[in-house]
Amino acid sequence: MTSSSLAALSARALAALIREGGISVLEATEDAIARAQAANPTLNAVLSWETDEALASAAEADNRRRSAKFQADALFGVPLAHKDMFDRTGLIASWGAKIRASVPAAGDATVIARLKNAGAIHFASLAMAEFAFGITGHNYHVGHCRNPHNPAHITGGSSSGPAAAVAAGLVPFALGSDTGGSIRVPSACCGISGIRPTWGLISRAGAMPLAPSLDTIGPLARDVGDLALVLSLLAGADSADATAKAPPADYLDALKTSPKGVRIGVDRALFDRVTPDIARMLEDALGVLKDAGAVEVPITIPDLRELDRYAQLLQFGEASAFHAKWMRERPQDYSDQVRARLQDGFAIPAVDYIQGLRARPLIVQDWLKGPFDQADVLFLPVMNRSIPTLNETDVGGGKEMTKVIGGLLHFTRPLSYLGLPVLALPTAKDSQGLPNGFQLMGRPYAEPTLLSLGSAYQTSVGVPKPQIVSKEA
Amino acid sequence: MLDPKIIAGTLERQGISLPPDRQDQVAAAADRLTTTSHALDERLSLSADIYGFQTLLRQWERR
Repeated sequence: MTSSSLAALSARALAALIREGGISVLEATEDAIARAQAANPTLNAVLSWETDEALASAAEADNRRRSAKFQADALFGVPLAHKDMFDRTGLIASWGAKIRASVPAAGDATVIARLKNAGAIHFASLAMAEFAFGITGHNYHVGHCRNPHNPAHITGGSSSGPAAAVAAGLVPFALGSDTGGSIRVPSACCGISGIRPTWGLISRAGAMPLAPSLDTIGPLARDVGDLALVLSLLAGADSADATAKAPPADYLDALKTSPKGVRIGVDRALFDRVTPDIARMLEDALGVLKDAGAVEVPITIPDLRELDRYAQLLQFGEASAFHAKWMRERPQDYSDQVRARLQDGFAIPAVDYIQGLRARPLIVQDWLKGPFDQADVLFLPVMNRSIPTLNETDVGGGKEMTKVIGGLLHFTRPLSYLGLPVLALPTAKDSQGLPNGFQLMGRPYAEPTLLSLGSAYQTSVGVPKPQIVSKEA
Repeated sequence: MLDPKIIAGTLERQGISLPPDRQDQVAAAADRLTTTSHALDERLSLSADIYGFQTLLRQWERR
């Protein structure tokens, strides 16, 4: 197989190819590293390399495969890389920041351990916004990550590296995190899929926190089937994270389920808040879901601005508390943007923050008894406009920049407050040739319904092809 | 709007220095979020606790 053919494979297809002996683990790993090294001067998606360790693990995996008793796990030999925010034994994650942990991690984050147990090979750590506190993908410490569809445009953040790496075919999927949109916005910007799971479905033990009441970990992938596989591997209780108590499930089953009759709630008023180009793309995507058997029902989405303020009460309060020591001792080591966001949190009284927590079940009930009484799944945009350029969202953009960034968060951060699962899927490209996306939100633990819809959508529109980026790009 | 100097003092008490050019912005953000919190007063009974959210999600786990 050629390198570009390997780049187009899903994790499941690559694992099957390795399992059947079509390629060795070492060959697959060498190829992934070569692709990533060729693309990285353009994309800046990789923060650190672990090529020697990966190649040694790959050679060892090939040796194990020769044993008569060998049985391949679901991700046996698949080379992967993830957002640089997860603990890995003996290493210090960068968190995309100048400030780092003072001692190496004593163990692997639960999600990393579970992927390793499934046979994955780790060869690099990927770019992210500083402390995962930025929605554009800018990073003033390590350089901005670039969009493989057009390097002048943002990747979205904070899971910038995972989105760029997956879209460019460097890895079939990558783990990211989503507090206010950090999986969904980069997925849309890079034309791939991503899922923010129900809060508490996946353990966050060993992952850098931003705002734990909102933080979730999830995969970004070109193929919706890989999202299902990763959820199957990662979901489930973890004694190291008291919030992770969901029972394990096989999400791959959902891919075989028809979405016929699933009621999709659509609030047409939201389409007036996006550009005409985006509105047209949303209509087309909705049409595909309806052709697959889903039924559109009109609903009214409650006030998203109000919901966003509840989310901000939690996000800013918690993030500032986590950073309090460094904000006192090393404020100069934050970028101006992140320092400013953290300053806001110190001005929120504890009483207001706690009211935000206490109100949460009431607000979620409002949604379950309101839009979710009429519909099984809600359809919303990811962003209100075409993907902005790096320059439009850079420092010095003034009021216009604030408006653009607000538009990136307008449809995502409010939903985070609800803790409900949200699948981001790619739309067709816009008039500038850039991707975008839409969100499908379900009731608590409704990931199977979302994946069923996502799979049907993908069957119709196809799996996005990798945007191969070479050194010459 | 909240007095930006009081907000700066609040941050100073927590060991965070706030440059003068940011005081208005932080005060505006605090004002907006406090207003939001106060608007919840009517809805929050004594029994609304901070763990209600997790309890609610769990009720849907096996449906």
